[in-house]
Amino acid sequence: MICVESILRVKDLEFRYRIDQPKILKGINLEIHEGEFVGVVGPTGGGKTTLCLTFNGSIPRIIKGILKGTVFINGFNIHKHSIKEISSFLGMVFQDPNYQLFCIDVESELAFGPENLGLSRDEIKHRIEESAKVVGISGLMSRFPGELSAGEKQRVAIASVLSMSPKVLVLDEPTSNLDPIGSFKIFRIVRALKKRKSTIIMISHRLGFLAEFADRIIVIKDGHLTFDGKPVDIIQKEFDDPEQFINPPQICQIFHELKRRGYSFSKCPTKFKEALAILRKYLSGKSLRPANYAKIYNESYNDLQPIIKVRKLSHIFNNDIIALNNVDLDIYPGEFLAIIGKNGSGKTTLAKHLNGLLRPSSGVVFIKGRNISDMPLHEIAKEVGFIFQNPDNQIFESTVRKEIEFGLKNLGLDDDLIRQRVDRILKDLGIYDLAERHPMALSTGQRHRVAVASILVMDPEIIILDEPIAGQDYRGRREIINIIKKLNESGRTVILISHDMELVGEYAKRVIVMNQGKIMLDGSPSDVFVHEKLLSKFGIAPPPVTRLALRLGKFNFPPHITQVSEFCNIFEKMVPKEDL
Amino acid sequence: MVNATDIYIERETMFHRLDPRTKILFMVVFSILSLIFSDPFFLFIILLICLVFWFEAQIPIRRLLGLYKYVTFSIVLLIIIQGLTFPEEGYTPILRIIPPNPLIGNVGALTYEGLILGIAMSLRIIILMIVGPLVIYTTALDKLIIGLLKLKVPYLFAFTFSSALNLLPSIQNKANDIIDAQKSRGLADLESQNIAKRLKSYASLLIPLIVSSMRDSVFLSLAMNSRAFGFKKERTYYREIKFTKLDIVASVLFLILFVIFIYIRFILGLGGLAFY
Repeated sequence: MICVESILRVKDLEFRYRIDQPKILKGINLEIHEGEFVGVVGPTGGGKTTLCLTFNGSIPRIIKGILKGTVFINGFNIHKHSIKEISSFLGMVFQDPNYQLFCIDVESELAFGPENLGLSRDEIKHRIEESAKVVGISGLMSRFPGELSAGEKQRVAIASVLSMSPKVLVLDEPTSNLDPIGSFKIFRIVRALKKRKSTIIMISHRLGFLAEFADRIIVIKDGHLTFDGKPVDIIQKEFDDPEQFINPPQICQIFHELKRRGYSFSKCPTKFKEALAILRKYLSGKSLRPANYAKIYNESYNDLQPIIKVRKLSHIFNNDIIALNNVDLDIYPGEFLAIIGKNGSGKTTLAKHLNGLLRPSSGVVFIKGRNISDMPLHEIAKEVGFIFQNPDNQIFESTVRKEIEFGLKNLGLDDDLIRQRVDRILKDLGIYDLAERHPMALSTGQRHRVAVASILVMDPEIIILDEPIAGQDYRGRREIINIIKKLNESGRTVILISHDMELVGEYAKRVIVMNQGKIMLDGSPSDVFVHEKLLSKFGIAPPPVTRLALRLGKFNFPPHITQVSEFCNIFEKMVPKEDL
Repeated sequence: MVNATDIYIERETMFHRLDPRTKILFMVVFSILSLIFSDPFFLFIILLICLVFWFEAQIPIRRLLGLYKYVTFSIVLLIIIQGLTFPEEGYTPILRIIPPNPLIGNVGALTYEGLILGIAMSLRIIILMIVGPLVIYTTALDKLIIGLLKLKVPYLFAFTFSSALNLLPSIQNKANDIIDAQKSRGLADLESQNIAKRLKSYASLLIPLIVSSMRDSVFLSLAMNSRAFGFKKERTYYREIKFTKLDIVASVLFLILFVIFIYIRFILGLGGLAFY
C-alpha cells in the first residue's frame, strides 16, 4: 500500500442506548487507510452495524444513545460535525434498498445528494451520468424506483451515494436481500470501485467474496473487535477454533478437509483461481478412468404414489404476466426437493400453489391424491406447512406461546392438546424459556425459530421453506438447516426455495431449476449443476466445488460433484498422500 | 400492487405541454367556479368547458368512467337525499314518498327544489373530479412536484409525497406477506363471509405493520441524512420547468373565463338558486 494516511480513526469507542442497558460497543480501536477495502464480519447482533453507523455520526445523532470515545473520519470529528457535512465524503448503503429510495424516478434519485450539496446543474448532470455508468443503470433513468427489482433498487441506492463522490463507501450487507445475479452485480461494482482506489468498508456474510477481494477483515463480536487481519488468517482461525459465525468459503473447506485427511499444502488458497492452479499442479499426470463416478438420478420413487402431483399448472397474474407456464411435477413422500432460479422465475408462485395461497389459472394440484382446487386453505394447512423468508411478516401475536398456538386454534384442537403440542415444540426448538415474551422483542435468530415453530407445531407432512436462511449469519443458518435436515430424516417431504447453491448441493436430494415460469431442469444436484453454461442462462452459478471439478475435466476428474466430502474422496483416489 | 407511475398518461397534446403551474391555475379556477355557482345550468356549461380540455388532452373516456365507478352510487344517493329532505311547505312537491310523521318531521316528499339542488351538488362533484385528475393524468409526477415547489409549497411536503409513493408498494407487499402467513396457518376468517370476523383479522395486521414501519422509518431517515438532506438552505434543483408562450396564452384564457363567470355570478347576479 502506497498511501498510508489513515482516513478513519476510531479510538476507545463505547456505545449503549441507555445507562442502565448493556454496552453494544465495548471499546473499539480501529484505523483504516485511504484506498483500503475492509470487510466487516461477525455474528448478528454483535455490533457491526452499530459500529458503522458511528462513522458518519448517525449514532448518536439519529439513533440516540451514550457514545464514548472518538471517531475521526477524513480528519472530521463526528462529535463536532453534522451527518450532512460528513455525508459529502462518506456514503452509506444499507441492507434493505426499499428504504433508501424516495424520489419519483431514478434520475432524481441520483440527483438528490448533489442537489442537497448545492452543486451546479452541469456538475450534477455529469455526476449522474458517471455514477449510473459505474453501476449499470443508465437504461433505468426514467423508471419509478418502487417498481424496480430488488437488485436494481440496490444498484440505484449505490449510484445515488456515488453521485456525491464519496471518498469512503460503507456498505451494510448490501446483498442480503438479493438473488445470485443481483448479488453478483453488486460484487462486480464493489470490485470496480476498489480498482478506482475508493476506500470501501463492507459488512457481509459472504466471506467467499471478501476472501477474494478484501485487503483486510475485521471481526466484531459481542461489541469487541476480536480480529483484524488478512482474510486467509481469519479463515484459518475459524478452522482452528470454530466460533461458528462465519462460513469459510467452500474452496477453503476443501483444502481444510484434505489437510484433515493427511495431505499437507504449503499454502491454503482463498481465491478460486489460486485453488484451481494448486489442484491442477497436484493432478498433473494423473487421470481417472472416466465415467465411473457419474451418479444418475434414479432413486426409486417410481413405485410410490407421489404426495404432490402438479398437472398442466399455469398462473397468469392480473397484469398479464405469465408466472407459471404449463408446469408438470411429481413430488414423492420423503423427498428433499430444492427449487432454484433467479427472482421472478416462478419459484414462489409454484410453491404458493402447493398450499392453496394461489389458485391455478388453469391446471390442477393434487395433494395425497386429492384435488385441492376446492379445498379451503385451512384444510390444506393441515398437510402443508409454509415457512416464509422474513420472520417479522409471520409474527403477529403478543406472546410466543400465542403465536405458536395460532395455527392449532385454527385447526380447532382442544386446549389440553394444544398446550401439550406447544410445549413440546418450544422445547424441541430450545425456546421454552421465551414462551411468555413478546415475539417482536426477541433477537433475529429467536424470531426465526418462533416462525418455524409456529408451522412445525401443526405437524404438516409437507414443509415448504421460502429462502429460510437468507440474510442470516452462519450460526442462524446452521440451526435452521439442522432443523430442516431432521424433519426430512423423520420422513417429511421438504421443499426448499433457496439462492444458496452450496446449501442445495450439500443437502438437497433433488433440484428443479425454474426460468420464466417453466421447469428447465429436474434431477439430482449433481445432474443439474454439471450444466454450468445452461445454468448461467437461468442466472445460476453452480457451487464452487462443482465449478472446480468441471475445470479439472482434462484429468478425468468427474464433474458430478456437489459436496466437499465427495470432492475430497475423488482427490484421495487420484493423488496418493506420499506425493505431497 | 399500487402503481404510482401508471397515473400519468403520456400524450403529445397542448394540455400536456403546459407548465404544471398553468395546469394548477386551471384546476384552481374551475374548482372555484364550480363552488360559487349553484344553478345546474351554469354548472353544466362549466362542465362542458372542462370536458373540452379533457378531450383536448386525449385522456381516454374510459378513465373518466373508471373514476365515476366509485362515485356513481354516492351521486345517486345525494340526489335522492337532497330531493327528499326539503320540507313540503313553500316548495314544489312532486311525489310524496314517506307520509309526514313526528319522527323525521315534514320531509320525505320529493320536491322540485330538492332535486335541483341534488343535481347541482352532483355536477360540482363531477367537475371537481375532472379538473383534479386531468392535471394529474397529464403531468409527470416529478414535474408536478417541481411545479408545487416553484409555487412555494414547502420542499418537505413535496418530498414526503414522493417518498410515501415509494414506500406504499413495500408496505402493501408486507401486508400481503402477513396475510399469506396467517392463511398458511389455517386462519379461515380472512376468507369468511362474516364481515366482523374478516375485519377483526385484518385489524390484527395493523400491529406488525406499524411496528415494522417504525423500524423501517429509522432506515429512511438514516438514508436521507447520509445523502446530505438539508445540508444547505439553498439546494439546487436539477430539473427545470419552463413557462412558455403557450402557458401565457392558456393562463390568460383561464383568467378571462374566470373573470367572465365572476361577472355573471356577482355583477349580473345569475347562476344562484333562489331557494338556496
